[in-house]
Amino acid sequence: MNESPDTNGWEDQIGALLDGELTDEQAISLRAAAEHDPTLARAIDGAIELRQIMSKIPAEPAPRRLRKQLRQIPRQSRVVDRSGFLQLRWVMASATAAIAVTIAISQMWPQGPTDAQITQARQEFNLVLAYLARANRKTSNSIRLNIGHGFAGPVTKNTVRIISNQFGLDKE
Amino acid sequence: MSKKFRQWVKRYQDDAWSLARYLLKDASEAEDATQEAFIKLWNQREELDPERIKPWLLKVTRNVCLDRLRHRRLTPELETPEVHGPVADAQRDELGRWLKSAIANLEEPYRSLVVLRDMQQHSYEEVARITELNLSQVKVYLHRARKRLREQLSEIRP
Repeated sequence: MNESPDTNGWEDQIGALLDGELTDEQAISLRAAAEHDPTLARAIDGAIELRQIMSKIPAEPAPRRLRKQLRQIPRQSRVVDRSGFLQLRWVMASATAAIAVTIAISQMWPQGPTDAQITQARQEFNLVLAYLARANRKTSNSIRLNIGHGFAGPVTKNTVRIISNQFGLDKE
Repeated sequence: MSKKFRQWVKRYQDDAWSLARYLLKDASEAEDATQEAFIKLWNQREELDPERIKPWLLKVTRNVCLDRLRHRRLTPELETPEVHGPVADAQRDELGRWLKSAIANLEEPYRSLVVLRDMQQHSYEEVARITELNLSQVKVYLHRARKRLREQLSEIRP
């Protein structure tokens, strides 16, 4: 459509006419202008025809498959939430069990350990330190053979001595 | 809440689908986009103002579609066999079909504006909220879009 530039000035009015938002005065004024301006008249006719064609286009409903998928969103979401909840519940249960075991063990010695228990614990700790020293020696030898002297002895005799002194194990 | 959600689905699914359909010009992609928008609605349902669900949903639908269109530009363009040239459709005297094609071929935001205002009859205020434009921008762009359609119509019906 070869509309004159003047028609652009009427676009608001044409839009308002289509939307039914023109006052009576404005509508009369627009019609009067169209009588003297064939381009404007054509623009109005075209706009009305366009609106008529649009109104005849049937609304396309969402496909049945999509409708079904949309209805299922809450249910699917609940399944996801539930699986997350179940995982959380397992974590909570494990943590609770660990705490319960710790409390139960601590309740087994309500008045503190006896002298015999302390002696036995020291002997066992000495044994652990002996194993640690042996593992240290073997690791040091292996590092010395593969890398060199600089990195050998990660747990030194001094370290073992300091730990032993802390617990008075060197006196045993 | 799922009952409320089902009501929203029932009320707005056609508008969301139709908007996605016009924007994407591909039925299966439009289904995906609509579903994505409704999933976002479900996830955000507690934070949303129930009075503004429709504009929110259509805004999200539109944004999902625009994201997909941007991504599509980076990949080979999909064929759109349903979109025909205006003259060819007019010769078959299917003005409605021609108009749908003509709308689908408008650029953004003209296409969204025509669909939302002229096809789906949302108020200007709602259209402004959905498209995140101000009211005067909506009116100006809509006038341009309508004018373009009129010009195309005059070409096939001199």
